[in-house]
Amino acid sequence: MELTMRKANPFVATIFFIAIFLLYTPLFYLILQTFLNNPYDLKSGFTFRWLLKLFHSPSLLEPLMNSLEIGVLSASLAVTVGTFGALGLFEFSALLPTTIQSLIMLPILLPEVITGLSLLLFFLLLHIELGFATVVVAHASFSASFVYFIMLEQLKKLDPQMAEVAQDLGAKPHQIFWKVTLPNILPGMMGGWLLAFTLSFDDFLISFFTSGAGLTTLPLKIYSLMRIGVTPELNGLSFLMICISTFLVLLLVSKEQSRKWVLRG
Amino acid sequence: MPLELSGLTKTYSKDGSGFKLWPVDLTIETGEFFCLLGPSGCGKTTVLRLIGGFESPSGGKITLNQRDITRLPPHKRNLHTVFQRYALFPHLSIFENVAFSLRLKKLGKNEVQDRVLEALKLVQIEDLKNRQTTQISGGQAQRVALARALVNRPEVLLLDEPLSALDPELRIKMREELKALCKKVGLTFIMVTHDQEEALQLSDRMAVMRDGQCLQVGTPKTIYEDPIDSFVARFIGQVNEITGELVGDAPEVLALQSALGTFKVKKNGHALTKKLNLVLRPEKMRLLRQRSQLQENLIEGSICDLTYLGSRTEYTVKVKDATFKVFEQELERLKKRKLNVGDNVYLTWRTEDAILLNISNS
Amino acid sequence: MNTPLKSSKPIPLTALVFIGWLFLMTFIPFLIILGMSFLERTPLGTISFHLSFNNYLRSFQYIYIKVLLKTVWLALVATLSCLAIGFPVAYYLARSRGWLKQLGLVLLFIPFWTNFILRVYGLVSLLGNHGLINQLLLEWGLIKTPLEILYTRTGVYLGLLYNYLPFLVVPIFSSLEKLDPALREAGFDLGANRIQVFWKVVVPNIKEGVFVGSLFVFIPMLGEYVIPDLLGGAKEAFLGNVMVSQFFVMQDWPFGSAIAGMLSLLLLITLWIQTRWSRIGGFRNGIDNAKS
Repeated sequence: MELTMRKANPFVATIFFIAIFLLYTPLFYLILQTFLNNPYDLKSGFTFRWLLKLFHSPSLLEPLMNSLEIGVLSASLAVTVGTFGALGLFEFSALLPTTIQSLIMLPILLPEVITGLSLLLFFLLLHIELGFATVVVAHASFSASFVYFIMLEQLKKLDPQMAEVAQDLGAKPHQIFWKVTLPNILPGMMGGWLLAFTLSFDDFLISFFTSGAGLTTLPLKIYSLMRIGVTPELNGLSFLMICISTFLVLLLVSKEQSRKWVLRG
Repeated sequence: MPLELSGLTKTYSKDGSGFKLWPVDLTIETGEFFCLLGPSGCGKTTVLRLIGGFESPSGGKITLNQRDITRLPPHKRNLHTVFQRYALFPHLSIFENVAFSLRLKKLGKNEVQDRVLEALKLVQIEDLKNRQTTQISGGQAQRVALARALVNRPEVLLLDEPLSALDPELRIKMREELKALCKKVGLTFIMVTHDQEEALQLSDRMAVMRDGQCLQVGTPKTIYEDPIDSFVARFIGQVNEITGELVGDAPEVLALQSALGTFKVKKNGHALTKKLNLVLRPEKMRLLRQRSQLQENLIEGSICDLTYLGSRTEYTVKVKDATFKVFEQELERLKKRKLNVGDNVYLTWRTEDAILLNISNS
Repeated sequence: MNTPLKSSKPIPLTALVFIGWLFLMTFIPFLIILGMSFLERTPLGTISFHLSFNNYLRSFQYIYIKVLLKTVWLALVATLSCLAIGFPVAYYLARSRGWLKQLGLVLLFIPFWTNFILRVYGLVSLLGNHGLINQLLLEWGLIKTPLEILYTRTGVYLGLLYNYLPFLVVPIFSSLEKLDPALREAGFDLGANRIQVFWKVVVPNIKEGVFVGSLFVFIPMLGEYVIPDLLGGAKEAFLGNVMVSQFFVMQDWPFGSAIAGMLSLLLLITLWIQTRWSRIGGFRNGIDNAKS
């Protein structure tokens, strides 16, 4: 019985492999183009030219650094705010009025186009100059809710008796937080941080609206290069970024602890 | 240094459950193993949490060694709680779990080391000190939780169903160890349980609770042989009950008239109403193969079921509309004629083994 | 004994930081854009603080309704297609064991974690007139002139499908993973065959998760901007694109805001349908399932 049940339906297996194949075709094609003399001619021969050119183009270094800095800052901000929220609302999470529930869900549900434009209007009305800071804050404004839900899950898994034991053993409220609660929710905070960082690093639309004229992030740079047309250095960049995401996924999967955070996506 | 609860009450009004703990008065002696026994929702855990300091009472007083601890936070009461699921800190090693309270007190390195090892030795798990909480079994987690509570040298140890998370075999073994530990360290142990067998085996004294009330306090023997009402009788062990009315007014031995006949009964302090229950323990009834003129309390019936359990055989005997459970020890059974389903038998008991109780509805 | 719910306790300060943050950074900006939709643009290009429904009345014109219907239709078709492909993919992953499962998950997560714009770029360069597909088809003599996929509705559809597929596979996969294998075995034990077990045991137990997962794909598709922009061009604009062009090209902020209002209404209707549909009763349950 067990054996027949484990054997996958050939139809299902076929769809799986075709889907995976199609999912990778555009990515592999980008990589392939990186090494073609003429990216739009399969027979144009092999070259390292574009990849080397990438390392000599400082125009990409700045957006990369901006994206990394914005990611780190906005993720840290989102984890702080989201964790505060989860810690404070945890006991009430089942009883929260619908208005609060909806408010928490709003950044997740609202289309990015609306979030971006409404934040743009908000900053303009307040006469806040668009730039690095507005992008950081804008990214944290929607990733904080994601962090909140991750932290809520993490807190639900905590044994509530643990805090009582700590109290029984003489820990004061702040000691319970620092010595018991925090060490146990730290993996969740790291997972939340990573997710918030990814959301920020990946984000195009909200940066597009809130960055103003002077600031370029990596997705914004890719977008503008795409608008220009054929740019083999873009393919070089794609190659690098696919390598990085592959490396990250493999790193995360190899750590059993963090695997569930990847799964959460 | 007794622990005294006087008029302790607790009402939950806000959550709408309407639970109320009626005033509890208890004195628990030093070094005593005391069990709070009752079905779920009876308030036994509430009493434990009130003593532990995790809930504050709506009224009444708790004193430990003549010191009023009613309003003190848990760690200032000089008593510790071992929780049902142990609640070990997953981010700390076994050693650090036990050392937790000592580190909070900022004790010296050597003292922490000595006291943790002493506590671990007490529960026989010194060799696990460097393990993580994920690397130990349920029984070992139980010992760590005990060591973590004992390391602070409390006067009283509170245990909230500590054995319920263990598998049956381990549970029986841990019972003996808990009892031995209590005597070895000379502390007062107060344990909450819903397992009557556990309570009978472990307690020096126990309290039976129901619906927020403490029904009876006494030694296991008192509770079993002289229960205060039918509920206590039913909750501890198995019972057969005959409902009837008292007739006559002789001072000591009376007669109870019931649908199954008239039986001799002895008066006791618990039975006050006219309608009463005659409670009989299955192991205190005898099965006669034939009618005997010598017996005073005799009922005729037929066997409708029997279960062989090795050391004893359990019979279900049908008498008119009622059924009776009767246990017959193997040694006694072997001396007599073998019984089968359908056989006619006579049930009898000694007048002093029958307990006369008020009818309690549950 | 359960500990009583501590509903009477005040909401702690830490929670207020979060709620205040959401209020300031999401709710107020959202109110601003909604409020803007009731104002009017003067011929000079400034905004007059004159309350009116004109923007909404304008949005009922044929061209905008057409865009709205197209947005909903394409998002719906793409979601259903994601479901049709995503379900077998998730099912295969959930039923496989050991290294195959690990590998499958890794393969699924690499595109998931690859930059969104890059994935779109990959598709653009694959589907373009000089892209791999046309190159190969021309090479093999199957077609004479390049296939027009890019900058058509098909391009937008493929873009939606390609980019959102992994986002639907994951919730379906985790719903399937949470399903107790004993349920299937019990189904077989009671005499059901594979198909019956699938439809009568597996599907009823995961449909809630699958539905909420689909919703979390459908909703962002409704608000999509980048995919129609890069794969569809001006002709295949979604509501989001019309909205952005009102803001930046036409400089008509109030009307752009009214389109945002329309999009929000669409979202609300979708959520309302979900609430109606949800068996266990409600928005919150569904959301909780999606989050766990």
